[in-house]
Amino acid sequence: MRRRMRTKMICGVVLWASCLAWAQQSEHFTFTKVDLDMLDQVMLVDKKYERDGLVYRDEALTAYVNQVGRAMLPSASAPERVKWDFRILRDPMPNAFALPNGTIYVNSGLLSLLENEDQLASVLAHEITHVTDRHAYLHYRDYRKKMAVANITAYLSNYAPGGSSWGAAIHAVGALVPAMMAASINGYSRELERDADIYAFNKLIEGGYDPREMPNTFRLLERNDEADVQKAFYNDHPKLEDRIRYITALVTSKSPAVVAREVLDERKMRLQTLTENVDREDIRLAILSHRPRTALARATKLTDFHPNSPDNLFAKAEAFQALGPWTPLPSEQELSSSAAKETHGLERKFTHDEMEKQLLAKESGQASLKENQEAADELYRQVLSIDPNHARTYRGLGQLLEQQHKKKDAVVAYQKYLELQPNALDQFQIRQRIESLQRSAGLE
Amino acid sequence: MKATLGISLLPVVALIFPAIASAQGSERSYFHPKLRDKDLILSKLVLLPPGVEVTKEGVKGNEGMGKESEDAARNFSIEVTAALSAKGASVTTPFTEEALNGNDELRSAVADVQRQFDEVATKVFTKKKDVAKGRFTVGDGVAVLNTKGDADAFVVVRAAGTKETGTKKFMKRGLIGLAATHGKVLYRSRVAIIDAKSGDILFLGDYSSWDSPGTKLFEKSFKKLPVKSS
Repeated sequence: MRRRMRTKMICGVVLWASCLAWAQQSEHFTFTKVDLDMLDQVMLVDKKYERDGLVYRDEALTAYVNQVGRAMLPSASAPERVKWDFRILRDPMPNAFALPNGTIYVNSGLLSLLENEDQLASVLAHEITHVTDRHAYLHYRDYRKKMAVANITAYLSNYAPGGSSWGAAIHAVGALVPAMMAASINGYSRELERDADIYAFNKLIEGGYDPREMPNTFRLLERNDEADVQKAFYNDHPKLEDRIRYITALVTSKSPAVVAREVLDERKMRLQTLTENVDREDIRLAILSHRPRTALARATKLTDFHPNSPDNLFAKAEAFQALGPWTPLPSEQELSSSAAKETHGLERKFTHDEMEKQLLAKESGQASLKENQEAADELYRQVLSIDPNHARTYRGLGQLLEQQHKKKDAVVAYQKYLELQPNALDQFQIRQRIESLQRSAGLE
Repeated sequence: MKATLGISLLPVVALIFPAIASAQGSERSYFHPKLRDKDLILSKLVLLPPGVEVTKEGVKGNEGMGKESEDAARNFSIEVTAALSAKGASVTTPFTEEALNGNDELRSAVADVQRQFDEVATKVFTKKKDVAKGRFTVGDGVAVLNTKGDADAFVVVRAAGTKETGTKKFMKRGLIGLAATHGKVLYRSRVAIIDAKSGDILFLGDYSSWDSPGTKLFEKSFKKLPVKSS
């Protein structure tokens, strides 16, 4: 009897808090102390990104992203406590997110994936909606209410005999990360995300962009460059298939004017030209993050766009070298959900070096290594045939030769790098490698 | 009557004891074979900007405490430097905000090394004992931060602090726990020392404490660190 009473009481509390949260969402937005406290923390996030070296600096590209973003803003003046700013983050994960203070971040990983300006505009318009409709604040208020209920029910369940399974589920909710950032970065509810997509669709038409590029953006995000598919961000909430479906349905029903091919091509050229540098930086970051397949996919896009650019060819060579014993594309088997889960588990357990060693112990791993090294070697030499003084190519070549145990040649390549770039930031690292190679080859 | 009193005091003692014990702070240290066998003696160390996150944990969920995090990072930096200096090491902090201002290349390089460490750290922190097997490395890419070429190792600090609100504390720890830990931040901190040449993780200190571990706790964990004065 008492147990039933307790259960009823707990259910009542949950229902009351949910109703309250819903009612508050429907009201006109006015700032509370909680919202202002959150805004203070958000301001610090902007500063932290800058201080931690995560903001990508490129005046021309930042101005361009701001120009495209501002064209997607609502005609009304900026909402209270919003200052629009569009920034690029040095992060190879394809993602974009908005902070409630009006700062919208596009990751280098997303920029390097996009094919034209219309796609960029669709991403920015989507993020703008999260700011104008105060999604972060509403989500945070809702989260605080749910957490309060969760804590009260957890507290009660501690003292409710036989209520352990209920309590366990609530305790799991209690382990959540600070809600606002998690939602801003990982996505809000399906409904809010859908609202943002619909705003973006309409805004694209208004701004003379082609909304057909929206589903194309989602299709790009569906690509599986790596074997462990992690989709806990912009591209999986709601499911991409759903987003493609409802935007395609909108295109069919509204049949917006088709943008001329030449205009689309011009916008494509503009985006690709301005993003070449950030794409190369993104490739470097993808390699550092042990995502060589992603790096190769991005580098291939770069060399397709600008095939004779030494910097693009160099980026592709680096990607091939970073592949090591991995194949350039994941196999069908690797992409199966069970194999992807297994890979994810292995990546959590073993370091990258350990996984590489395991692969190298197999014949297939050795064969892939050889092929990738040959591809890298050919590309490095191609760079040098175009630009014989391309310093970083000598460094890359040195690394490749070192891996192939061609110690003397590696030393020569490294020395050439230092000769061309004596003040390089990594000069000490390279000198160290030269000394080590000379010692082991008896060249001292 | 006596027996009843004894039994009724038991939960009180059980509550007070962990609160007092944890207030002292605890540490565990793990040494790479190179340090354990004294193949490598440290002298010049470079402290990277510490990563410290303090959050407020209340009944209405977690909230970030940005300002407190920055202050805590400064404190950690001072305490770790003091503890290592007390051992005789020369510790420098060249990557200050002032030094990085206007030098985007260096700022990015610092960010990249920190990121590489954090990637390996997920494995290091779950298999701490493997540090003693020399299993972990960040890679020789760390050497880009050895700008003068004379550093032996880099020191990386990571800490997560939780400041519980009174209600949350009462719910979690009861009245005595609330009184014993009033106004304190519970920290889980780690200090790693990374070989400036190879990127090998040479040392890992793992600390639990109410408020920052303090110079003494750091000194205790660095006790067996082979250091020579430069």
